[in-house]
Amino acid sequence: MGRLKGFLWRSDFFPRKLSFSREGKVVVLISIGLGFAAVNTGNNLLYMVFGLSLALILISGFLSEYNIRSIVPGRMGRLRASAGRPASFMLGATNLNKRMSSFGIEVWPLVDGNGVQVEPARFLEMPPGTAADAPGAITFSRRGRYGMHGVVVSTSFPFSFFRKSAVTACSDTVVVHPVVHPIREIDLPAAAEGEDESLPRAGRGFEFFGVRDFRVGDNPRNISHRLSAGRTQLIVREFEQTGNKEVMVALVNVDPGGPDGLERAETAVEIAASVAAHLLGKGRVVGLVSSFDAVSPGSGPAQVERILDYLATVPILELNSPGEEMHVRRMLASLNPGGVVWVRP
Amino acid sequence: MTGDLNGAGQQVTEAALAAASSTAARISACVGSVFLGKPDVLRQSIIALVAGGHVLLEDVPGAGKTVLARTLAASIGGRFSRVQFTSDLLPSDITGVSVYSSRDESFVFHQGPVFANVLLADEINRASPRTQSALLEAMSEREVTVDSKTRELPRPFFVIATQNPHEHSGTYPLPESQLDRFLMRLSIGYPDRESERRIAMVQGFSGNLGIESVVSPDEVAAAQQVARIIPFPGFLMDYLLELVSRTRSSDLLELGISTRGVVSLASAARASAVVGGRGFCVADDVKSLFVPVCSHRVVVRGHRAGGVSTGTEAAAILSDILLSTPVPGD
Amino acid sequence: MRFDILHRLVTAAVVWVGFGALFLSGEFGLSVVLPALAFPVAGIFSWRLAGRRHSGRLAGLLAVLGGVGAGWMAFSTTDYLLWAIKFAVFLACLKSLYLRMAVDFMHMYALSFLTVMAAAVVNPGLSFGIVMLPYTVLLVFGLMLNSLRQNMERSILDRGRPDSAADAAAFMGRRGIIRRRFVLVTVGITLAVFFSNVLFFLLFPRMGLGFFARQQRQCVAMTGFSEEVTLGDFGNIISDLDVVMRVVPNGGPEAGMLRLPLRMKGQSLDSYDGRTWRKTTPRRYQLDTGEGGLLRPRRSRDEAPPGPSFERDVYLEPMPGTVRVLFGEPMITGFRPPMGMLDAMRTDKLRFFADPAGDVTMTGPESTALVYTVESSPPPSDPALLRVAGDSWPQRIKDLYLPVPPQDPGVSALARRIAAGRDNAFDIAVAMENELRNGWAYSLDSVHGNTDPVADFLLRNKTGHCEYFASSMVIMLRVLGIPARIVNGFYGGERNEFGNYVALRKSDAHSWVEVYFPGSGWAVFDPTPPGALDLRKGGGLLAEIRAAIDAVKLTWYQWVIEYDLEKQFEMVARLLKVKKDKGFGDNINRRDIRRIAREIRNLPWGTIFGIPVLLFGLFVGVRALAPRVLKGRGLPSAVPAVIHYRRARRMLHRRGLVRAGSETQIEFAARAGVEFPSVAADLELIAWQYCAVLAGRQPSVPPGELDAALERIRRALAS
Repeated sequence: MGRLKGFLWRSDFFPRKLSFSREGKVVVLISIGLGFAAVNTGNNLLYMVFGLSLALILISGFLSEYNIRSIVPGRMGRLRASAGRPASFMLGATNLNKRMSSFGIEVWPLVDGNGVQVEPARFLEMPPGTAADAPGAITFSRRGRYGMHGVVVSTSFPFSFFRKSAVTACSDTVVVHPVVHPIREIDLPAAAEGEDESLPRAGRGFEFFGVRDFRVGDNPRNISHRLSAGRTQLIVREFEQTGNKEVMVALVNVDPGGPDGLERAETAVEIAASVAAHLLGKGRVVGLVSSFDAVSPGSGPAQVERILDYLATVPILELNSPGEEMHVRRMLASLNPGGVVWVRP
Repeated sequence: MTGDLNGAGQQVTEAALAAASSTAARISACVGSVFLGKPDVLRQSIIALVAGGHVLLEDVPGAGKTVLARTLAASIGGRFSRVQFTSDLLPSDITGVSVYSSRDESFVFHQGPVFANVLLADEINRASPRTQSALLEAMSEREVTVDSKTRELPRPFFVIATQNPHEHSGTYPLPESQLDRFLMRLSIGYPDRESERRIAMVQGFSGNLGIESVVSPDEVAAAQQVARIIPFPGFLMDYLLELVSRTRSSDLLELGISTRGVVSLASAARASAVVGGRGFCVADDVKSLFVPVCSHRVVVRGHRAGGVSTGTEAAAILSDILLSTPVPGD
Repeated sequence: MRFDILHRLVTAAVVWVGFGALFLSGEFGLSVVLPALAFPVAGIFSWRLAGRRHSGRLAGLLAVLGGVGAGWMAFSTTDYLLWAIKFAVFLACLKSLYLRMAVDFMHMYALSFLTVMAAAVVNPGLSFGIVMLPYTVLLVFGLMLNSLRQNMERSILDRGRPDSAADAAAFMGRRGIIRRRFVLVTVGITLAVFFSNVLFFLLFPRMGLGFFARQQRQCVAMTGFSEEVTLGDFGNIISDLDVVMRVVPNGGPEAGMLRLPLRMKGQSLDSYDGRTWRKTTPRRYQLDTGEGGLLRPRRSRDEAPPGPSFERDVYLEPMPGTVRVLFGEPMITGFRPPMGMLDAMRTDKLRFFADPAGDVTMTGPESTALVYTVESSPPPSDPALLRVAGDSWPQRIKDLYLPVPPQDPGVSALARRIAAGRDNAFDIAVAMENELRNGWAYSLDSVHGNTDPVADFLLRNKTGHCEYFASSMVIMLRVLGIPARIVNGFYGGERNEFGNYVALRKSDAHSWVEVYFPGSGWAVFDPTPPGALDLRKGGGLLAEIRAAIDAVKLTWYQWVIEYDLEKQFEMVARLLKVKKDKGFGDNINRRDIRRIAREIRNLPWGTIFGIPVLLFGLFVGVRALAPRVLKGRGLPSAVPAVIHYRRARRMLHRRGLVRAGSETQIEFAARAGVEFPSVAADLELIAWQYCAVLAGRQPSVPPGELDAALERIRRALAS
């Protein structure tokens, strides 16, 4: 049934989708019952009441069509969503009709997948020729990449018997990040705090680190003219990368087995995201390694986005975890980071 | 529909897929420049590599088994070792041994040839069953236990074993349960005349194949990861299971394909998709790999003794099954 | 006005009007009506109660108790319908105290709708129709307000904010939500609902089988039309102005206008015991429908064949008793009951009987209104013919219509005196008619002795009402040896200015005389002074208003209560006639319509409706199950690559290339590519894309590219 439903939602065959509300079901049932009663008894007054219920249904259909026909939904902006948390969005709508108001309009993005709950943007009344924005919210139960197929304009006007919806197609994806939890300092291993045994590295800090030959791309201000004086080559000073040592978050994205294995693995992904975001928030250079792939180190909000994007779709592997950890270790070794934060399920 | 088998979080990224197929393509190009005339065997062995399985090459000497194994190993660029199996070979000759070092006053483990990325096990049927099983255990567990200490094998770990089916004296044929550990059994056969001419011109007598590594072992490992999470659609699984059930009910076969065979065939099909640069499996993947993956997993009626059959009979029966099984779809 | 208050007011009004439709039937006593009407008012303030703790549980308990009570009463009185309705009213009253959320209001409307449905069963009067109009208006308005309320609830309450309840309260208290635009929309919707209701009502085909569900109208209390009439019992109804029947002309040579006064014959009575007239006619026989659904009483061979006939539609109000007399103008030659009645005849619910006297009665359920067409011919009245009829009466006539109880000698003397010098029955009857008209006085109040009222009237009192006149004449004729009988019926009538029909009231009840003439049949004589009857008419503005209301009532009966397939056809025919002067044309004929309607009605409707319904069900079932049953085959054909693949496959099929079962799609494409090398790549592309879709992927190339590939394949295959 789900498949059929999905097909109906996406096909061009039915441009409108109709779903019954509970009241609508009752009304239809009553109408059918009335119809039977009227035909079986031949009571014309029952025919009249039957006619009334049919008229209500029919007019309901026409009016809801008229009501949403003139509504054009706005573009859906980029959605920043985390799993399990409602992500709010603003959606606009314009009533193109020059004479009639539209009532009770709801607008929401049509997103694939189970476990997606949408709280639509609602417009109680849209006067003729006006545009408005309204807030809505969408909650994804799991992280991942979700296809967005359109924006739905829907109404249950005028009698709340049915909900009629029209889809304005678009093609987009929504990346749902894992939840980022707040992290306390004491939760982090020492390595992440930069007080580990790793060697100092050259960078753009202020403490003097050493000198070396000038290379194209070096800041000319760093040229030590005193040292360069006696040589054919220019010498530049190097500064230590203070408190800015690279940290790699090593995620073992493997199902550890057991009944709650997948859940634990998902939690590990959330923790990895949280650690990375926390460290990046403190201005550190952070990268991420999983047993699948790696995100090269970087800093700033863009790096947060990059890491979360990656973690949104990182798969949970169904393998034996010690082997994967070995694999991660090898990958780490090749990257040679300043510090490593291990996240295991 | 995509999410049916793999959750929303388990999608293959396009970049990972591209990298994996490029890995396979580079190996293929590299080996193909030397190993001529047998593109099918080459493709199948690369699929076995990407699927993380092992290959049993069964052919007469001089058909190019060693060339294939060596060029594969060389192109991967990891550690390569070769073990010539003889009847007096001991398990520790493969796994390695702990030797007392008087300098350190402790036992030091000397890694055996099995600690390699690519291992060529020549004439595997000449070794004693004990030695064979030591290798086969390492193949399936991907770790070696010596002196009650478990040691991880490198990754990727790829075994190419060869055996000569026409030699019977002084051999210990592999039992079916152990044949099962190999993902595929391939036989190379003679190349066509043109290829043979080129082989002779290129190789000469130098023996040096002039191969340099084109991929890193890590790249191969990454490709293997991708192959593990390619979705395998339900309708293909139905097709696969239909094939398998026909082998089980066939009158010509004493023993049909085991459940491990089903898993192996599915993973080989996934790897085939990766090698083809696709994020999805098609019926062709299953169909083209059915015989190489399954021919050594069935027992033809009247050949219970095992090992003596070259597999041609089994392959013919399996091909017949392929021809009588409808492929799903319009 | 505050939104909440307005909505509650409208809801209360909806419930009220719904109750009104029910209570105007008069079936319910004040003990039900008054509290029921009071409760919706309480509903306006019910939010105070609805919020209380345990109030919901209390309501549930009360509802269960009420249900048990109503069920018990229903079983003990076996009046299930009445108690079901009372329970529905009780539930509606109860619910009106618990209106809080939009859902509660919706329940309220549903219950109100139920009461209206019940009213449709028990109240077929015009009052129902009058109530329907405001009900439609109010219901539409209420539903729209409720929709608004629901939208508010969804947008305010569902957000789960802590202060949402306060927000909602603020919203409900807001004024000016219902602006002019909303009211205009409501009015428009109401009109649309109303007109589509009318359209549905008129056009929904009346294939119904039942007929008697519309029973239980209030009866017109009426005596005198049983098979026994005691002289003197008649007068007490004579001044009643209730309409008993309405007669509408229908086809025939004198269609158009009815001539007044109208005479509607009921039953003839034959035997008199000095005080009471009785019907003793033997050999009642059941009438069966003949050609065209016509019930035709047998005519004796010694009567003249009927002359040109004319038809009247008679709308007979309900009267008590299970045996009903069918009225018609003398002389009645046939009845044509509506089709619903014919169906009822098939199921033995209803039977028509006739007796040799030519009277037709119907047995069926009690106190139902009846509609039928009666066909009559003028009774024998040609004096020349009747004078020479002679005195060779058949024996059965003589046996029935000559016996008289011993009479006061004065009565016989009077009869002979009038007959003196006249040699034939006709002249005697005419003379007697004139004598009585001129020499006796009409009065409703005269009292006659119990012993021999006829003698008292003829010889002493000389005043009386029609029964005395008619009885006296019959007895005097019988004394003279002329077969005669008394006939009860209605005489007079009032033409309604607002509709082309004649209404007969209770006060038009009348008795007259029929005399038998061999070779001709029963001729009509009326000895009552004609002027006397006019005294009973009312007049003035009041009568005018009464006539207007009566016309509306008849329209209601004609076009609503008795609306059937035939009427539908008549309407369509009339419309066609108005639209263009072809088709049915001017000579539109009730008989044709009736014939067509019958033919249509007799079509195998069960099959005609059943097969599409069955097919639709099958379609839906297959559609829903297909993806499960046909794995991999249930691909939606709307997906681009699937369309392309299937078309390409069809084209290849036409060129003799078919995919072998064991061949994969890609192998097939490759094989086809060998046959048609120029499009090998295109074939392969489409096959791959199809396989991708099969594996759950989206096609990776745009549909346009697939279209182009398909087009190239088409060309390559065509050449």
